[in-house]
Amino acid sequence: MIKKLYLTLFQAKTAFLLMLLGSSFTILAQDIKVSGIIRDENGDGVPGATILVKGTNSGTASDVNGYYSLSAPATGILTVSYIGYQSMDISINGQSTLDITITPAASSLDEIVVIGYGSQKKRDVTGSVTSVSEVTLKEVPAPNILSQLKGRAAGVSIVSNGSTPGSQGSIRIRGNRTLTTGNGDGLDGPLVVVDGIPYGGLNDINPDDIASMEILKDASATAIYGSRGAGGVILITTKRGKVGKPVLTYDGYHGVTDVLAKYHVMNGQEYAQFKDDAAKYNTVSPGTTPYPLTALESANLAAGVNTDWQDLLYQQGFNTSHQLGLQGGVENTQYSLGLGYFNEKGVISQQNFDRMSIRATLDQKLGKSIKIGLNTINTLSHTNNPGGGGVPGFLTGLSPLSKPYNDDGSVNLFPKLGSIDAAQISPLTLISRADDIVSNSRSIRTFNSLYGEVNILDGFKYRFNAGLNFSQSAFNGYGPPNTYVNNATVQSSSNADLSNTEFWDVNLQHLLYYDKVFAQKHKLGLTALFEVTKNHSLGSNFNVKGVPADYIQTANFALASGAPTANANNGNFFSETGLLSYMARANYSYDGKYMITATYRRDGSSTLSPGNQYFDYPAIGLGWNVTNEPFMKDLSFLTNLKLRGGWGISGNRNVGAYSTLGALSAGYYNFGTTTAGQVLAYTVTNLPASDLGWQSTSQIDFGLEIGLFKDRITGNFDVYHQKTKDILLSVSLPPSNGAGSTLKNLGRTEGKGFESSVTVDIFRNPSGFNWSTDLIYFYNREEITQLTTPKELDNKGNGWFVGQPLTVIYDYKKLGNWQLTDASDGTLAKQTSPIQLPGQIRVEDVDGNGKIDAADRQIIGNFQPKWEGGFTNRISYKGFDFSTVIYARMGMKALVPYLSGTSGGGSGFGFFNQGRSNQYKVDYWTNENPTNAFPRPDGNAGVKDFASVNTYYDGSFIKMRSINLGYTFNSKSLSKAGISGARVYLNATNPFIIWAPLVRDDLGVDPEGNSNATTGTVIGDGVPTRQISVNLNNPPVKQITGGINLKF
Amino acid sequence: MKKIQSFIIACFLLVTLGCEKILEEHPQSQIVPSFFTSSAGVLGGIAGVYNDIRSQWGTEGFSIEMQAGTDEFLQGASSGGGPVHTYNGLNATNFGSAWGVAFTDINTLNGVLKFGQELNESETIKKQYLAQAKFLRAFWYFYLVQTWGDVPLHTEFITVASQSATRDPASEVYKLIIQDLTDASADLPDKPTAPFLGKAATKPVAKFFLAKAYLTRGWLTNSQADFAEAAKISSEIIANKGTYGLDLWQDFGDAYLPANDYGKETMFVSDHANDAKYGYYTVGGAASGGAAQNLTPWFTNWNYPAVSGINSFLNANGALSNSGTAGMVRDAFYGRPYIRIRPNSYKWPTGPNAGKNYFLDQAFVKRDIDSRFANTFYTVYISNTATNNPSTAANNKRGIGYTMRVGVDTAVLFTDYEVPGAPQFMGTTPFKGIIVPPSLWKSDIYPAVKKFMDPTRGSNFNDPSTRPVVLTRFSEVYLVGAEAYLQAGDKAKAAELLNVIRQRAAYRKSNTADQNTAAAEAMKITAIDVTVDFILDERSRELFGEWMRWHDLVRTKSLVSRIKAWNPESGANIKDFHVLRPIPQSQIDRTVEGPAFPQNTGY
Repeated sequence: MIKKLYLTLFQAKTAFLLMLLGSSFTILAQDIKVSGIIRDENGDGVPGATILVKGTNSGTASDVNGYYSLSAPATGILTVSYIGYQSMDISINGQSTLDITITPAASSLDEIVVIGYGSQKKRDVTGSVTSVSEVTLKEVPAPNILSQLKGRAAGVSIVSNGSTPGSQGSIRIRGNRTLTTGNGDGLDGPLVVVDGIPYGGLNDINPDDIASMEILKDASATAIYGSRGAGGVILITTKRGKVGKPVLTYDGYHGVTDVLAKYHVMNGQEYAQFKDDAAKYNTVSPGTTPYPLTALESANLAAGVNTDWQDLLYQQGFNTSHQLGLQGGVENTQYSLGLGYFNEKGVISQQNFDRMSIRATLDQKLGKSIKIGLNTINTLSHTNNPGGGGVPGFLTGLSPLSKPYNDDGSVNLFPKLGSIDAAQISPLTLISRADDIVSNSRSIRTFNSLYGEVNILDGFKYRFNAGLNFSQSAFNGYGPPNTYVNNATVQSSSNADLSNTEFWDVNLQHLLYYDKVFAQKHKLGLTALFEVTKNHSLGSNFNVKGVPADYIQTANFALASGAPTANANNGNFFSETGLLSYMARANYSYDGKYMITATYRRDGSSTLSPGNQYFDYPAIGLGWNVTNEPFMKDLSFLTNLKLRGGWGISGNRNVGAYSTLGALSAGYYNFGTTTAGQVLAYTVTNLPASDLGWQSTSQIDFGLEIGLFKDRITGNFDVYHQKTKDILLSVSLPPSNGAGSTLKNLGRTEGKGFESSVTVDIFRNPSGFNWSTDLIYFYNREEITQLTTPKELDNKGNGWFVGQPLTVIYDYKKLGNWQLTDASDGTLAKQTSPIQLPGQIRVEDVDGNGKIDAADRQIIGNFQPKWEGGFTNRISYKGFDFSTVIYARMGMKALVPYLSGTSGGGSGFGFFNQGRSNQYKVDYWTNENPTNAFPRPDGNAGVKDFASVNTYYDGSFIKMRSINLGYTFNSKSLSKAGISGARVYLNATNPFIIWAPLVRDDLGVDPEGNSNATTGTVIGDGVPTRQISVNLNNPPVKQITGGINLKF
Repeated sequence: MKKIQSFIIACFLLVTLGCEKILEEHPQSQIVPSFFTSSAGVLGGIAGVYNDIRSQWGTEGFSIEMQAGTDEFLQGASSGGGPVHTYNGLNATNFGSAWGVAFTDINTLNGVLKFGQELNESETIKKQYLAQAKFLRAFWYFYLVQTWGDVPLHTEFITVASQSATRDPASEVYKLIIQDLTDASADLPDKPTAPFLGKAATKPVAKFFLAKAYLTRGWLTNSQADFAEAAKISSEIIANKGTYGLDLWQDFGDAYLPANDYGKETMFVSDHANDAKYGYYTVGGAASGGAAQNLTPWFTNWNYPAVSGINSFLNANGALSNSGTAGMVRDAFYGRPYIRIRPNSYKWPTGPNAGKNYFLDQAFVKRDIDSRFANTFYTVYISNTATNNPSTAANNKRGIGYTMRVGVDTAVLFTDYEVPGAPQFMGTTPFKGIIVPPSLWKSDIYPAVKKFMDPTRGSNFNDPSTRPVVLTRFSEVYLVGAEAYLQAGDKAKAAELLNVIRQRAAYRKSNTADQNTAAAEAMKITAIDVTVDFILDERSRELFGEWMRWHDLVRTKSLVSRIKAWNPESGANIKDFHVLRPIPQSQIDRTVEGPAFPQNTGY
């Protein structure tokens, strides 16, 4: 293969040389100056239309008034194009003035769609590709694309990961395929490609830099990305310069944020009652509790103290964004510059995120046939996160009977004084000691891509792409004693943390293109690729105790009394992976009616053992533009009908570096107390897996695209079926075999789904009232079809069941609470193990043997939505525009750990229903309140048996995502001020939740989840990773924004 | 144009150079298995197992598993409940944290035994490494077989993953244990030798475990030969104590002084260190579970900073009701209140033990002459905060106001006898603090075990202890020997061994020589006194709270009877099948090839 490519390239170079020689002797035809006005169907000048001399790259753009002027051969042809309008060819015929009226496009099929390693007209595309425009993204002002994309693209599912400033969501396109993972977007997430170069995450992309976004979904479209394509591919095209006068733009907004709602905890009276009840229902020593009201609390109860800790801590936040852009260009040189600033202030003191970005593109023509260009995107961001996202978890556990401030107005450092948790320090120190607490991540990323393109012969093109990507993030943390983040009371216990992570990638691509139309009807496109990718990552993490003074923070570890230590489990790593790829693609279409695309890719990866490193990814796509058939001419209402279908294989690089080699777990031991006895320690925990190969996903997709009544109604419908095999399973081994798990290519999964998006222009009147609606509806059904062997029908330890979705909840089934009547009529006594009491949780005894044990667990739900959707309405009248975006995810469970007693820490109330700390106000059982909702309090142990069953809740929701009201000023009145366009708008983001059972039942503030758990917080038995969990983290925020877009 | 051409050629070369190399892997940041064949790898494998032992003995979950649900302990207020205390609902999903660790270690040790033979090291070093590995393999199998009975027996290093597993008969497991310990006791040095410093395994340790293994197998199979062997080995260890550097301290209390942690009475420990790396210790690091933290001092601490209310009173039911400002604050001397387990002081109202509680009336019944009660428990809490108690304070029935003198006044006094007027009066005399006699002890207020306390924590009193966890004390050799002689039919020899530790326990530094002599005489027993129950009581007195009670009761076939006799929480739930623990569900669930992995009967 390499040889073949050498040969091709050699030929190409020869041809190139010849051509260069030839070109210098070419005599150019006589050029004349042509000018005029481009008008729309109403006779108004069209600003920004592109006017090109046909067959060349030279051209210009019309100005604010539609005026253009350029040099062109007197015998040439001008091609005028403008988005939403038909492109037109006009012969110059020696005229120096040419006014041109353009007509709206009958369809949008002539729009150019970016596909992998190239672009196509929309009508020629055979794969399932969703385009998301800049306009759509901007309807939701948000710091990152994931927030903007929620509910906006069929088949794209996004789960929140938290509400702290700078936090990202997790994205899945057409669901999950891999069994063992939860690891962010690493395995089942999409490949992100920016201007042709893999970007590796959506984190740092400034949404304002995006001109358009294409989402490749089916395997016939993604197979050209081979081993990285199975999770879908997001192609981002950034803004580039255009021929024409420099255009300066400013986009800015400022929005204020507030928590959407507070967590509903008990007030002082209720809390005191709750503690009494916990004592009363103590199962070991009835009438007593280890956690009585302290003397201080009793006094405060009598004095009427009732502290709402959330009120004291939550603050109003804001989001502010300022983006400056400059675009322009002359015939041979186009450029764009961008300067962006975004700042988010969170709802908790000192939690904030800011990002600065500088971007530049340059496209330069050299001679007639060579073009080179550069794109550099540089971002610097800071995330401050003192206290982390889990502050509310602590806040809600604080006693409402405790005073937040001392009489002198200072913070009461120990609000739990007198209780067993007396040492815990008030979270109000996050405010009072804001300057001393540090938790800052600084991240810098520079992403650069460069290309060179040579037109070797007519239609034959060579292109070289090089990508250089470097990102570094540094974390500085300092926890001074006597603060919320460090309960210690002495300076020698202050702690400082430093970490550094770096990623750098090189991506080099050689591409050959051949595009030719034969006999007017046969359109052929060929693409060949050779690509090399090398990724590196490096991390280090150190911490130290005993920083002598708070002002030193992390600046000098040498001053600390403790010795710096490297974190053994986290933050210290190094890895390198390499990928070698070859790809070929052929597109052929006949008469605009029949299209076929065939691709073939071969990837070799360093992470697999020699012998298993290469894998092939073939794909084929077919398309039929039915409307172009003669027999359709009579059906004039049908402006577009296209059928397409495809099959392909794609994969994911799911083998991490060095994972085939096996590993020893490292530890330390000291024999005795002297340094002589210090020994490094190892145990064998990972067995080598040298026969690992590639996981692959084959997918069939059928699509239908339809346009009715001059495209007043357009629709896209896709059904697909994907099968994934040789899934890399981290197979949990019987512990008696020593190593806990090993990796094998064993599992199989399937996914089926339906996606639809329909746009209806209900009213279409360019100078009057317009109303259009986008409706998106999609679902995906995942299923495990095989585990390690066909005989293995379940792996309960991991929560995997053949025939079930990839993530299920496998636990006891809650029937309610045991009631007094159950005790009196003997029902309760039939359960012999465990012996329970009225008011405790009753679960189903599946085998009816009177004992509740592992055999009584069952599948009680999953986290796969029944469907997801989005509903956007856009109304405009004269200069006003109004839009709303609604987002829904329906019919799945959410995990609400704080409603159980088994989780502690940030995710919930430790000691739930034990009366040790304040907690969510739930309907708990007492003799007088024989509810089935939540069990009785128990001063001894809280909820011990089957506590997890109360954590599974209907996670469905319908949310108002965004409401926009904008006004665009009349361009004529502005032009005197030198402004060519201006729009002001007001926006409400996440203003309210329309419907959600969790909120309706007052057990949470937002079911959307704030963690698509990446690490296995296994609650109960066998809830694997990937659950959508709703934790007591920072509540989501609602935002009211005012913004302005200006164009000069 | 030439430049551009060169540029393109350069680009092309950039790509093609090193194409093949790009698919090679060079791991740098992890330890790969080939390291295991080196000398450092083999030594590291042994240390890794010691580190894992440290991750169990002294940590919360494991310590509770080894002692809860026995005659010695009841639940403390913060026990978190749990079937391990009550046997109510004890099943495969709530027991067995050490199962996986044990087998990881056994596989690692099999690797050590395999690669250790081929090391390029002196014969002495190789012999020592292999002997350590054999000892440790036997150590874990002994734990496994006592806890679960039949378990998978592996003697080869597993390098290929398998999803099948089977149980081998306990008799086979004991064969391996006895062989390994016999080999280890031949090759291990008499005293700790570098690099295995501190109190790592030595010849007498291997011999002691060998004796205990014979004893345990003897009970299981009713084998007189095993009992005789156990007795013989115990006597050998005692006879050679000088060679091994072992002996009893004159004062029982000295064995528990931090300074003597590595002293002559300590045989085998899991070490902890005041070192960030090798001891996983961070100043002010509290203890959030995690690796290898010795939390032993705290398990039995009652909730003294919260329920030591200075005006606590008797409520209408005659129970102690907490009231007033706490008389104590948390400090290093009294330790962090974990309130997990408490001495079993439940007083039986009826039945064969009517009117008695195990703690005071059975185990520590001779508190006047036996120093071990005073050396094991805190009964006096000296004020560590200047609590002011006005005469008008609610529930202050003393009729006086006063301020506690730090370091002078007693804030809480646990008496081992009933006190009229308690908690605020001694008889009719007002008491500044509170008096808590046995009838008022409950789940959050009771005498705590003091012998493991680590007062060196200083202001970081929430930190884990860095004292070693002592797994074997020399005194236990006498107890094991006595049990073996008793079972072998030589009660006189059993009594002789028991008298050594009993008479030592009579010694108090504060006594006169005559008093000590008299006390020693009063502690003396004769052959007719020696019964299995007596030895079990003696073990409570000598080794209260030292990770072996559950195994002791199971070995001596006394678990069910003694729990029914003494433990009110689990007496109603204990069944005969409970003498084996439930196999962890993960083992059963993950055995998907070959025959299913059988659970122990009853679960």
